[in-house]
Amino acid sequence: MSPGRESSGGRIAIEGLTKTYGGEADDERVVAVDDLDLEIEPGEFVTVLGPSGCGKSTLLDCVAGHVEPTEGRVTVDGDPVTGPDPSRGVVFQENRLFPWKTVRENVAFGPSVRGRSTDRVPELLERMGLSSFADSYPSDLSGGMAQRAELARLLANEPSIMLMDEPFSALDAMTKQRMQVELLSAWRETDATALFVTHDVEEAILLADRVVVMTARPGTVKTVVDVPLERPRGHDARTTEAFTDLKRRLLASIHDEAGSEFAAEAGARPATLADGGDDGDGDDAADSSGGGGSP
Amino acid sequence: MTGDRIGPATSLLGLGTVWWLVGATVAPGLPTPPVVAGAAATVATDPSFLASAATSAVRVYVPFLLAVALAVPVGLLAGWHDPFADLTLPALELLRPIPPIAWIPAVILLIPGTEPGIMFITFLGAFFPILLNALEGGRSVDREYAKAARSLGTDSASTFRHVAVPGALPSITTGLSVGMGLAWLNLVAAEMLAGGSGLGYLTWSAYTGGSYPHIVVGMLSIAALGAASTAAVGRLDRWLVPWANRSA
Repeated sequence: MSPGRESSGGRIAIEGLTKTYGGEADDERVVAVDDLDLEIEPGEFVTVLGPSGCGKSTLLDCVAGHVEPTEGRVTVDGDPVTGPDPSRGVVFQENRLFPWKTVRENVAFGPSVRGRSTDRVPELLERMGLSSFADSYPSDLSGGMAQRAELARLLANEPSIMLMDEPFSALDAMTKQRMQVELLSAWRETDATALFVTHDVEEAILLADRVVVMTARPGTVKTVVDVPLERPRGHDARTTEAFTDLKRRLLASIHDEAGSEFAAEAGARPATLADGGDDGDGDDAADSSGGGGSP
Repeated sequence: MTGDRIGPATSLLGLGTVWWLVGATVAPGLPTPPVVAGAAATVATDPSFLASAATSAVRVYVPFLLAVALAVPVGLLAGWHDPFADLTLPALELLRPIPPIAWIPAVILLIPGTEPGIMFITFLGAFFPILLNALEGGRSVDREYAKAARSLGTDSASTFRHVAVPGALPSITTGLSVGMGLAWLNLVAAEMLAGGSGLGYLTWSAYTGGSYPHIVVGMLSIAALGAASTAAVGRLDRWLVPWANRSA
């Protein structure tokens, strides 16, 4: 869209992605992501919605190239991801601005370390409302400003893919809502494909063309929901009927997921509550009858 | 403004009082502050004293800079990169517990000439604290910064330069400060045992010559040069690590 951009959005293909952590033995292993397939079109904004520990950060790490898949693969425009690359920019949950560099140096870091022009840096600082903090160190920034600086640092590199791992989850509610709209308008000025991980349903809807709902443990895709809201989206999008409708559907889908997990945990210890309630002084008895009842 | 000075002035006045009282009661041989001040005034213009101070300074600074040049890169690389740590640290860990002063007999036998021997001892005093702090500095840098840098386009060399080096600097400058202190400490020990010149030797020969005021003048001049060196390292720290040195 904007002139002089070196690349348009990348097509991300995730094929049979599995990532396990832990020991050699089966019972020591944790399956973070299990046989996950997902295709993201160039220029699309996809949010991945799921409870904490569902492997959505692992998924993002695999696309970023910071984590190697145990099985399966990630390709961008057909090329397998083998490591981190400046064409796939990342914004982390807690800001990863270099504390030893000023805001300006942080934002200029990508282009300068790659030997590219840093001419756009002042404009980006201005765009993100950081001009008066250009010579400050990150420790002087508020949480919202720090995440804006991270976003500016990513945009300075003109990536074809923007990867974001709950970048606003540590912000207060109002700052968070403002940042979401700012992110949308910044993203619209690029052609980048965006993959954004969150556990916030409203955030997932507001930002996305498609919301991918993940199941917890092992992490895989439960359902994919299209978001037919018109762009550009501002704060008023949150109160439209289509928005609340989507929110209801997604909440049902998630709580169904969380509920089944809870049911599974409760099912592992049947009747303990009833036994304990009946028998005030009989902890031993309750335990033994509970133990006898266990599968 | 005057309030800021009351504390320090009281502290120094207290030291002087204790010094005087100790001299007046339990240690009658201890020269009083005015006597020491008088001795210091004559010594300060004595060319042989100034030459001794210069000799001592050279014996500290040359080995100190050598220790920095060796210990900082080795420690930082070992702290950042595990295979390099496996390659270097076991041998260094074996040598580290030997106090530099315990090397003196071996040094006298093995290293010809007084100067290289003394410099070797001060080198050892500075080397290990600088090494350990550089090592700890490299280890303590959050690897998430390296991930961020890689995603912004660094290779392993530029990640080291832009993440490991600045991230470890606060710890490295702590090592410089400790190393400087230990270089002076070991210098004085080495000069007293094998010196022939320098402030440590001067203090020792004041003892053998029975001149109490000059013993104290020697002690105080060693303290002054040590403190000035530490202050210089502190200035270096504020210059190198501006981002971690600002009061809120």
